[in-house]
Parts: sequence; C-alpha cells; structure tokens
Amino acid sequence: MPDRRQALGVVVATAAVVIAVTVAVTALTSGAPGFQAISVDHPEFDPGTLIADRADDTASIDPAVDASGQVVLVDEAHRNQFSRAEMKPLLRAFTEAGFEVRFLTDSGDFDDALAAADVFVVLTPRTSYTRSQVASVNEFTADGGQLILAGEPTTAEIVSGGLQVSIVETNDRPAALARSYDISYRSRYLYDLVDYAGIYRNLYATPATASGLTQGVDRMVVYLGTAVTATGGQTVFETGETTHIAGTGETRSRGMVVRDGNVIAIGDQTLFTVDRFASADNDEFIENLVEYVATH
Amino acid sequence: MGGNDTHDDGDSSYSEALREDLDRGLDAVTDSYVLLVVIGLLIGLQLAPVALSATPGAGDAATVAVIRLSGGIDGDAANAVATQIERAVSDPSVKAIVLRINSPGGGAAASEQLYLTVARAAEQLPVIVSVNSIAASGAYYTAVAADHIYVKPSSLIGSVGVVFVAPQEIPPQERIVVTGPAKQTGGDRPSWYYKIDAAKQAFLGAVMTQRGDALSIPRTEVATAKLFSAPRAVQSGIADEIGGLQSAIQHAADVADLQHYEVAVFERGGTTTFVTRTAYTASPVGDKRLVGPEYFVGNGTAATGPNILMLAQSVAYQAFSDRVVPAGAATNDSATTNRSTVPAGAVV
Repeated sequence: MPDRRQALGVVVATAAVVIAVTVAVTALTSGAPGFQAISVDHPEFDPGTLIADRADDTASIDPAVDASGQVVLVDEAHRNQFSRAEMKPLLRAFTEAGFEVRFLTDSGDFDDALAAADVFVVLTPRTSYTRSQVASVNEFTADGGQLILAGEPTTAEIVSGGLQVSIVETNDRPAALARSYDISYRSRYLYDLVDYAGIYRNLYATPATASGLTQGVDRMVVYLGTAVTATGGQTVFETGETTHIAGTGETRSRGMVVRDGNVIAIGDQTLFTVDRFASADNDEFIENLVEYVATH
Repeated sequence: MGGNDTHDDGDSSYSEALREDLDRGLDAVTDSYVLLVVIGLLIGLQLAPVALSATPGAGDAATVAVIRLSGGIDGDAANAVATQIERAVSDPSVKAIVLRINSPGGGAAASEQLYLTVARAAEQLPVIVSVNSIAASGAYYTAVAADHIYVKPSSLIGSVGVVFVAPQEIPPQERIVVTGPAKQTGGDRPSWYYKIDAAKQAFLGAVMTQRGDALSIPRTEVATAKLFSAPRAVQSGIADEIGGLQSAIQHAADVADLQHYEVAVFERGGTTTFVTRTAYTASPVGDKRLVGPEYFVGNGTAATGPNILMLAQSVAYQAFSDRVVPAGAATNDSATTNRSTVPAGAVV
C-alpha cells in the first residue's frame, strides 16, 4: 500500500500525463500547414455531354430542270441587305437551272423590269415597297409570275462611324408586300433551348406539308429566323415544338416557309448564304426552290 | 469539578474522533491505486485547457475566413482569389470560408478557374457565399460550387450563359500567310457556335450538378441566361436564402460546429477593377477603379476576337456604344444581335 507521499506522486504523474497527451494530440490533429492531396470529380465536364453533333455540312446543288428562256429578277432597289457574293449559292442555282439572272438596281425601272421577269426575288428589303410597287407585284403574280420573299427578325446592327460605334435597330422584312398576300412576318426572332444547331437561335425546320419544296429535305437549319404565316396558304416548313418567340414563354412550332399560290415566303435569308447553305439539307431546299419556281 | 471541564473534555474527544475519521478516510483512498489515478485524471483534464492556451501553435483560435471576389473576373482577379482560397484551406486555424461576391463576371477561363477552386475547397471545408450587389455569369459560376448561397434583397444573381466576341474573318492575303484555312479565325462561323455552346453546356452542367436538388425551375429556364432578383432566385433555387454577410459568417461557423471563432478578412492587394457601377458603388474595397466594358469585350477593333466571356449581358453590349438603341421588341433575354455581315469585332 502506498504511503501518502507516494499517493501524491501517483496523482501528480497522472495529471501530468493527461495534460501532455492533450496538448500533443491537439497539436497533431490541428494539422500542419500545406495543401492536401485530394481528388475532385467533375462529371459535369464530361466531354461527351458538352459536344453537340454538328449538322451535316456537305452540299450539292444540281437543279434538275431546264429554265432556259426564263428570267429571275433579284431586287436590289430597296436597300436589300445582302451581297451577291453572299448569295452565290442561290444565284448559282438559278444560273445552273438555265435562268437568266437580272438585278433590279433602280426602282425607276421597276414596272418594266418586272414585266420581263418570270420570277421575282425579294430578299430583306430595308426600304418599304410603295403602294404602286405592291400593286405591280400583285399584278405580276396574278399573271403567273413566281414571287420569293425572304425576311429577317428585328435585329441590331453594330455600325462604326468614325470614333463612335453604335448599335442600331434594323427591320429587314418585306412586310407590306407580304401583307398584300395575307402573309405576315413576326418581328421577333425565334429560339429553342432544347433542339438547336450550335446555339439557341439556330433552329431546325422540318417539312410540315409534303410538296416539291420538301422533297429530299429531312431538316434545314435557319439562322436567326422569324415566324411566317400565310392566312390562306400552307405552311411548308416549320420549327420544332420547343420553339420560343423571343420575349414570350409559350413554346410551339412556328412556320418558317409558307406558300400561297405563286408566293413563297421564308423567315430567314441566311440559309442561302455561302457559309450556311451547306448546313443540314439547306442545299436540298435551295435546289427544290429553284426547280419549283421554274416549273410552276 | 466544574461544568467547563466536562465541556472541554467533550470537545477534545470530538476533535480526536474527527481526526481519526479523516485518517481512516485518507488511508482508504491512498490504499487504492485506481482511485488515485482517477483523481489524477480529473485534475489533468481540468488543467489541460490552461496548458493549451499557454502553448504557442497548439489550439489556435478557430477562424472563419472571409474572401472577397469583387469586380470583373480577369486572370489577375481569379488568380488572387484562388490563391487566397487555397491558403485558407491549408491554414489549420481556418475552419470555414465565406466567399463575398460582388461581380458581374468576366472572362470564361478565369471564371472556370474559380469554380474549380471553390469546388475543391468545398470538399475540405464549409464554403458559404454571400452576394453583395451582383453575382452574375462567371461570378455565379463561382458561387454554385459553394455549400450555401446568401443574397441580399436587392442582389441580382444568375445569367448562366456565354458571350462570344467573334474573330474577324479575313480573306486570304499575301501579307499574313497562314498554313491552314482555319488558322486565321479558328474555324468557320458555324463551327464557332458549337465551340461556345460547349462552354455554355459546361457552365449549365455545373449549375445543374451543384444546384440541381435545390432548383425548382427546369434546365431550359436556367439556360435562358436570365438574371434573377433575390426573391425569385431563392424561390427557384438559384440561391438559398436572403441574408447579409453576418448571416453567412454565422452559417459557416454553425456548419463547422464552432462555438467560439474569429473572423479573418482576406484582403487582396492592388487595385480592384470594376466594370459595372452597381458593383463599384456597393464595394467596400478601398483601392478600386471603374473601367469601361471594352476592357473585357473590346471596342470593335479587329484585335478583339475570339473572346469567350461569362459576363452580365448588359455589360457586353455597352462596350460597343455609349448610346445603345435597343431592339424594338426588347426582351429580357439577349434580343439584340448582329448579323454576319456586320463589321469586325461584333458580338455573335
């Protein structure tokens, strides 16, 4: 049995051990400075989920018609927003089909030029048609002439002017001319957050009504397009069910190409251009369009 | 014999009896080693905290680190904040991090660096975000990796999307000769759509992964890139709670189970660059400057693209004009855009 001095020693020693162990454990578990080697997974960055399949970009336009002796008149007299170089796929298609392609550069020659044409192409006019010009075109189509209209939604154009760069609003649609045929263009652009070609405002359009215009076309890609409706006509191509009109919450398919008699109206011009005509079946549509106006 | 004598004899007997009882008690204690050790343990446990506080380095006060992400996110800002986060994580005294965000976003790569850093930190410590005036685009990308997001009633948060400044398309020429058709611009214009969509999908995927359980809105609504008000953000799961910096600090301490803690604000050296006045005026940073949005977007010159940004939408378009004319059918999403025929440096 310990005496009292020994007993005190046991108590002191035990207390000392407890204090020492507590201090040592705290120092060890509080960690030493320095970076820890940890591994963090990021499944959200799996390349397979980030890469979208690009729409086919091979193209071949070979109209199977002989339009020799027919004239295509392309409007350039209403500040039309295109260049001939840009529109080469469409213009070349007309040429290869045998059409003579003429350009209307002076509205003073309007009636004479129109009278000599079989097909009139109006692409994104920035200047509105006058009433008399609309009447002349109405008469042209009533006499059997084919009319192709293309418009774009309201957009902003960045304009450089000396030291200042500005953004200006543009409205490049043949609104008045289309209205004379009960065809209407919306002003706002279409977009789709579910099914799109690259970014949300490049939409797919698929056949809505089978016709010569849709033959061989699985889908087209339209680049910043707008909706078109023909009150008395038919929708030839339409966008997907998840299409929005900008600024609205509703989603449904929208007309992209409509036809009413001799008039074909398209809600996008960009699909005809040199760097877009090869997307998906845009080339097939161009071929069909040329063949259609040549034979109707 | 008197009574006093009898009383004295009684007292003496009582004291002796008490002493004998005490001796017997002590003998009983000292006879038992187990009891001695138990007493030593109890005394040791009582004295250990005193010893800890007297020992330098051991048991430093627990700390909640507050790290600021302020202004536009360029490489300098991202590197500074990422370094602060990593230092906080590696500091044994730091038990939680509060990331104070006041930014409209900035460069995509810089924003992604911050997201990855915060995600890594959140694996090791509680990370709580406190939004000041704005956490948009790249700044929101940074925030979603945290455990909890606080916003103030007037905070703006969200804008999950990418802004792309396209490279100028230059026809072949003899002065600058390249060895492949895509060398000048990195690819044709349609291909760029897919490139930036991949960046958007990564951003969107990060938001859905980190916030998915909390979100009450569909992926497509997040993809509209809208900026949310604070109440709407909390309602939809874009953010968690309305509260200020103190709430975030307390939350961080609670998650780290800290009863007593210090708050250490990690200040970044140098000048903080802001591109939006709202963030600039709301920021308590002492050394700050307000720059024009062209700092990120360019000013329309040929040298600006390709440039991938995660920036609040209004900032990008302001770079091109001091007089912005909105599209007639103005929408909450990006209604204004340019066509392919416009001059160099245009926003796609």
